[in-house]
Amino acid sequence: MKATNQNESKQYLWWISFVFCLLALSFFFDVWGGKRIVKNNGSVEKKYFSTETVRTPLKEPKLLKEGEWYRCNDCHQSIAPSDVKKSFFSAHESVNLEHGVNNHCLSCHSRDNREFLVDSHGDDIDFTRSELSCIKCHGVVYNDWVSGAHGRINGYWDKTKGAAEKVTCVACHDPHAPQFKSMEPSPAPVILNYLNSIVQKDEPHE
Amino acid sequence: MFKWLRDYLYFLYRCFVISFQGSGYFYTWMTFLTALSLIGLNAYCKQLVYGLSVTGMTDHVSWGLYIANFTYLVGMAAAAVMLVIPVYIYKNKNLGDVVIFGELFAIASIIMCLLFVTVDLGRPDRFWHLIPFIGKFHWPVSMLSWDVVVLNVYLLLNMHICGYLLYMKYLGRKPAKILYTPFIFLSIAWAVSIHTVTAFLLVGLGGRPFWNSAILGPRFIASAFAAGPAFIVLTLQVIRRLTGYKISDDALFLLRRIIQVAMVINIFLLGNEVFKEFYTESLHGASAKYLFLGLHGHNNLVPWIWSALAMNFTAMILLMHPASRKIKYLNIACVLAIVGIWIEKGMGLIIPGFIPSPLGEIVEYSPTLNEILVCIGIWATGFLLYTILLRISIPILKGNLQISLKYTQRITIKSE
Amino acid sequence: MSDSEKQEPGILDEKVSRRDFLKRSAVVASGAASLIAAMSPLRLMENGLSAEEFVQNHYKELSKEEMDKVIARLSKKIEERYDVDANLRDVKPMDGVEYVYALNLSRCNGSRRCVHACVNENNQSRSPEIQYISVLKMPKGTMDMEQGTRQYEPDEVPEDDSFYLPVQCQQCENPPCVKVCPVEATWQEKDGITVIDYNWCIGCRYCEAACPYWARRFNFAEPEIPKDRVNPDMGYLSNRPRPKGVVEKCHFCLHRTREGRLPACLEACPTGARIFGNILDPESEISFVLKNKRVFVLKEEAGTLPRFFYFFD
Repeated sequence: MKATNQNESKQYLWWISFVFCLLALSFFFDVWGGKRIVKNNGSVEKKYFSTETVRTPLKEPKLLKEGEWYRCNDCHQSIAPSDVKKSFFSAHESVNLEHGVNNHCLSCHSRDNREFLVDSHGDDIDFTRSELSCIKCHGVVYNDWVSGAHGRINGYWDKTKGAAEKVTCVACHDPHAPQFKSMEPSPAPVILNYLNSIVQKDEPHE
Repeated sequence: MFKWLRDYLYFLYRCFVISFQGSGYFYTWMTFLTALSLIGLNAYCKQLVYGLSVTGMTDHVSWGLYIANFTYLVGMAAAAVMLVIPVYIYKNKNLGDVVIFGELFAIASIIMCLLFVTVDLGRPDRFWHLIPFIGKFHWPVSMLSWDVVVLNVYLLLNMHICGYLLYMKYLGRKPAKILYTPFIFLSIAWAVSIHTVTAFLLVGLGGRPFWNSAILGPRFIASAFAAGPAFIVLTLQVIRRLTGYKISDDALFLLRRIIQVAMVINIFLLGNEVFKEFYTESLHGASAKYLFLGLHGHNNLVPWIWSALAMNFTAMILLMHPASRKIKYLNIACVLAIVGIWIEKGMGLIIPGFIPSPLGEIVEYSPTLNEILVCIGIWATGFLLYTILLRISIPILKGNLQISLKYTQRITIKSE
Repeated sequence: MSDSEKQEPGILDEKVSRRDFLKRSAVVASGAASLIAAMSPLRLMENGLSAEEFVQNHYKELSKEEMDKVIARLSKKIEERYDVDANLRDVKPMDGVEYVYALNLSRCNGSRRCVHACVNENNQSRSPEIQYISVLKMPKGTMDMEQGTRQYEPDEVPEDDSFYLPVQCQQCENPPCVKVCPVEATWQEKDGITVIDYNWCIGCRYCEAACPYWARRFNFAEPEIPKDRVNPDMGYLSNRPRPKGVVEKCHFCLHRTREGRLPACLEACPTGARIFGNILDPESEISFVLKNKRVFVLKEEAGTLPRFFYFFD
């Protein structure tokens, strides 16, 4: 290093102190560095993670007609069972039938007692055991359902600790229009980016 | 009895004092660096308070500027070996006096690396978890544990070599070969290992096809041995001008040769990588596509990588051309190499590894101001440290800082 | 070079003028002031570090008494912060159990109920938003995830020409994340779940870089959980509120599953697309699926051996 005159050279020490004081002030007033920006997401509504089934199946055989509920036998007790193989809907406007090739009521409903369903032998099935009617055509899915590969299960996987609550077919599938309905999706994720408070969204590509 | 300890402590005290002495330019430089370091410290304190959300990193690009700089500086630290090999293996005379500057540079680089890793941690207060036997050190399975070991040992190696040689010069004694030569040879192999382990950090990730290739290790070494000696070339000229320390032009031209070869290999390996990524048009080439050409409209890094390539290429041509036998052009080539390789290794390697994400999502990365200030602060600290090391070592090497006879006599008289 | 350097440069010996001394002290004082001012943001630090937290040992090294103390300390903190009486416990794995998850891609309709059920169950941060499950909308005819997107927002799902692919931690048998952690803060337990000790993680994010399924999340800021949505049923290794600066991920709801219950994502799925259970039990639903359905895994070439299987019906 060059030899320097002791007295002269120390003049700059004042300047250095000045710089440090200025620096201290700048830190105090938070001049440096950016601000932290985090997008304020609230909680989503509880419906977006509900564990309820998409349908509430009827617990007893009844029909909604002109705003009032009627048990099936209220009318059918006095009506003679028909052998006509056509669908006949005029009395059942609230029923929307879109069951594919199965458009014959008596495929599922008992001919003699409309408050029961019917199995492949022609025997009556209780209304609350409606899955035994679905077996008639949907055997593969029924097998999967029994084994737990199809349909919702709530509760326990360990049967020794608690019950694995399965639901019957009609808890998700409307028996007259069984295709699973479209639904509103829960909210999409937010991709955070702290760059100058511009929130960047990844556009779907291709 | 403890005269050696007393002498050593006094030596350290003198080193401490001398690092505060110098000309006006010296003070200005040190104040400038101190100011930058303090700004970096301030930015880091903000990061401690708010968490890493003050940086531009996200779950998609979870490593950014900090690890980019870390990778680059590990390479720079390894480059000290490019001075050691000519002197100790090939007995080159020209570089004999400047080897130590390379090793001091390695010390400063490693300290910068350790700082960069520390600021990248989400929980730096849990640093002790990394200490073997006290924490839980996942060695030898985790490559990061290997990295911790090799970096710290390399630091200790260089600190020992430089410290021992400088202290012996200060004492006016001849250094005992057994106490430094084995360490020097160890440091040659170790230098290559620190950068290879850092490369393996990235190579060992099967979920990141951009990194999961055998060429990453060689590329790291080649680019390190181009950028490191380039930096040393520039530093030696600064030392020569400011302190009058004797450094011959031949030393600089030997380094030029080294940079030449390393740069050619670097460009060749780059060509290999480009072929591998683009020829088969497989889905694994998505990251390379993003880097060089842009992907689905996202192309933030494209100008960066092409400028880096232009710089590297120009540096290579310039170095091969006889024009670079003139110091002026050599300097230009060195600057181009340093900057070009910094971009290539940092932005051209770390960031594209994360884009697209393993689920195919593209979220780009931009460092925030806070992040940049922390990086500048660490670089300034490294330069500060290096300047202090030079400020201490050059007077010792020139013979101006020596244990004075007057002092030694005084001590011996007292003890009688 | 200069004589002044050949002498002993001792501050003690040199005669310092008063002016000189003033100048030097001004530099030292202003330097110290700027150093302290530089560190002044630290005064804003919330949630300071206690001594016990600092020295707390790794989960595997804690004795029962130490674990109880840790849980007591954490429960107290949770109560102070969220006004909730938490049932925080260390749930141990069951014997003879290995969990496997399966997902029926013919049934998933992209409703994202699973995503938000998980967020609700596991006390995940809302700001910044952390979600363990990513649901990708994929165009039919490809498994190239680059062509998928997480950002679909139609009025109704499912959309035409798309199928949906939910991805979460696959609890791999050969987990790359466990391999790379430098402090062993993440490891795989005997029931197959890869867990994280949130009080040991140093936040280096190497595991996040290593995961081929993008399953890990990092707390870039102090997590924000709304008080009214805090789930008090907490496990030490699973859904207790995490501190900032640590990594987290799906843990198969081990505070539920290790007590025999189903994970939250499964229970919320409206179509019943998810199947979970103990693969070591040949009568379980999951065993049926793996035996009878044509299952596959994602990124099989990565060699991770995931415990998460997908199938089309």
